[in-house]
Parts: sequence; C-alpha cells; structure tokens
Amino acid sequence: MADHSHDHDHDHGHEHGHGHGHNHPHDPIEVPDGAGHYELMVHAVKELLIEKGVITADDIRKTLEFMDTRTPALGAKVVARAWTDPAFKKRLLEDGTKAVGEMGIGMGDAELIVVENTPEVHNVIVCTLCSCYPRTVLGLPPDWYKSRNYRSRVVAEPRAVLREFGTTVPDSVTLRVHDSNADMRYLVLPMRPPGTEGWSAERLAGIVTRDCMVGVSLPKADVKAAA
Amino acid sequence: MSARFKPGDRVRIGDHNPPGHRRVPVYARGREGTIERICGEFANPEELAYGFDGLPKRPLYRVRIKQTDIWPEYKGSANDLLELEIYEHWLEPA
Amino acid sequence: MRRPNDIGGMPAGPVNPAGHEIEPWERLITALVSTVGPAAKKITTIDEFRRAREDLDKEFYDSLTYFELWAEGFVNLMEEKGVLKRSEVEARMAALRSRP
Repeated sequence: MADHSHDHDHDHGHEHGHGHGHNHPHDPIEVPDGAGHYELMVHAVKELLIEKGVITADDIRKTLEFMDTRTPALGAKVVARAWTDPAFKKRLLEDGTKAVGEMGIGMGDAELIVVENTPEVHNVIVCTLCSCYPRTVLGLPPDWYKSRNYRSRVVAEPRAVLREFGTTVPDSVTLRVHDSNADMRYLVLPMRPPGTEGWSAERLAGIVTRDCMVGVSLPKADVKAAA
Repeated sequence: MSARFKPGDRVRIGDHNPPGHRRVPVYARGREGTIERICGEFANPEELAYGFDGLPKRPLYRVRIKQTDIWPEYKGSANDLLELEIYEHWLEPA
Repeated sequence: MRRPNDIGGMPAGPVNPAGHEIEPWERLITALVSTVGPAAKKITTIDEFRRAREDLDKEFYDSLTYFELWAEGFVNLMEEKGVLKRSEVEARMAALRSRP
C-alpha cells in the first residue's frame, strides 16, 4: 500500500477548532455559542433559505423528525423476520423494495436489493463514488462507510478491510463486493448464527447489528446490537 | 421495456473518459463482465446532474466482474466478485 | 479523467471503525439538502448535488470532511440555481458570529 498523506480518515468533527466541549444537545435550529466556520455556514444557509421562502422551519423540522425514525433497528427487524419467516425471506430476496414496503419502509426513488450471505458467499456493500446507503432502512451511514479509506480499499482488498473490523472470510468462501453506484441500495442478509434456536423475531433483531447488514461483521448470539 | 442485454450476457463496460459527472467508476471502465440482472429503467444521472430530465429512461443493469479481472495483484479467492450498476449506454457486447 | 470522488482502488490507509457522534449542524445540513431536494421541495436532484460536490477543486475537496463538503457543495448549487449568493451566506455568517 502506497504512502498516503493521511494516516487516518479525517471525517471527524473534532478537528476544526471549535471543540466547545459541552454536552447538552443543541436544537439544530439554534446557533450555538462558539460555532465553527461550517456550523455558521449551515445556519446562515438555513436562515437565508427560510427568509427567501424556499423552505420553512417547519419543513426542516419534519425532515429531522423523519430522519430520527430511521435507525438500524428497522433493518434488524427485516432481517429477523427473514430468519423466522421463509416466505418473507423469499419475497425479500426477489424484490427487496416491495418486501420492506410490507413492513412500512419506503425506499423513495431508490430500490432495495437484499443479498444473502451463505456458507459459500459473503457480501459486503460500499459506495465508492459517494456514500449511497439504504438510509430509510438503516438511518445515516457511519463515518467509516463514508471514509476515503473504506471506499478506496474495500473494492480492491475486501478481505484485508474486513479483517480491520475483526471479520475473517476464508478463501473458500466467495466474497462479493457490491458498489452501490446508481439507483440501487443494498442490505446484506447475514446468516442466522448458531445458538439462537427457538428465539423470537424480537430477540433475534436484538443481535442484528448495522455492521452486519453492511457486511463488515457477522451477527453473534451473545453480541447485542446498539440500542 | 426493450433491454438490449439479458442476465448471463457477456458485456464490456465502455472505456470512455468524458469529463463531468459519471457514475461508472474509473476502475470499472473497459472491464468485461456478465449481466447479473436488469434493474429496471431509470433516467440518466449524467444529464440529471446538469438540470436536464435525463429522459428517455434507459435500462440499468447489474454487471458482475471477477475481481481478478480488475486488480492485477488481487489477494483473495479467484472466485471473488465485484458487482455494480451500469446504464445501457455504457455497455457493448463482449 | 478522475473526479475527486472516484477513488475506488486508490491506495489508502487503514479503516477506522470508530466514528464521531453526528453534530447538530451536520444533521441540519443533511436535512436542508433533503428538504430542498428529492425528499420534499424537489428544487434540486440528488444527481445535481453530487455533481456540485465533485466540481469542487480537488485540493479543496480533499481537505474537507464529509459534511463540510456537503455544505460547500450545497452553497455552490444554491448559487447556481439562483436561490442565494455565496456573498449573502458570508455576510450572514459574519452577522451570526457577532449576534449577541
């Protein structure tokens, strides 16, 4: 691997001088004290868009409220249902958009393709060109998914990247990388792990992590997904 | 929908290098692969990106490429695959 | 010709699985883009927004974090659409900075 001028991805909020250090949640509509350059820019743009009648504060709040409803727990429910309902799983693999639509999850202008991990095949998702991600199913993508390092390397050396997540895919398993570069969005349907026999869908959903629905991790019976 | 290709067809992704907004990554240009599925018909993002309507809609395909056909020093299984979405106007029969 | 976002297969460093908790202003720019765009007002397409980001000068592009890139691309696109001017944004930023 050639030398790269950044030894880590600087997609973190802390590097830009405004570290105000307090923890109380801001109403995103208010400008906090000590706001940094880009924070000011975004608030300036918001105010101007409202003043010019392009959007209203209410429009913004509605969008933020919708965003709040999108979390990996939605995807986990889809996976758990596929694990416990073979007819649903079949529909999910045939037409992901329609199947998640049954569960009240809309895909907007995009379409969902669900790819299944098997003992012979492991799937992993990336968007090398930007950060396309099934947001209505999983919420906002994590920093690493949007990072230069992930997007550059997972297409060319997926097993090395997966090892950095603590996941080893043996050479006997075919690794499929899906580059989400157009109108499709992807969800990995992981294999149901051992030690979960007889579990309810609700209990199963509790171990389906976001990372395993992107394909960089595998679910485990004793590892709970973040709340 | 009149799609030029069907699943299983061998295709070659164009080796064009036009300026502007494209959704064919450089690593995929000029590569040969197999049509994995037809995704449907969609407006052309290369036109939408500049405020045009991108019509007519055209077929979008998933193309499956062997990793060893892309990366000269690929480390991993010879069966490993990379799959991405390519619009019909970027594809020719291989 | 490789635009600054077209990085699949380029040499790069290790992936850091940790992330940062999204800041309110980052959620806000995400909401603004979505509201002005395909989710609500449909004044822009997602394609135009991607293109506006990619049009940024490569050195500048590479220096920005993900959401800084969104802010810059969005301002340029809004100016392109005649919705606002960058000079207005800068003036408002100065006013906000000095607002008590």
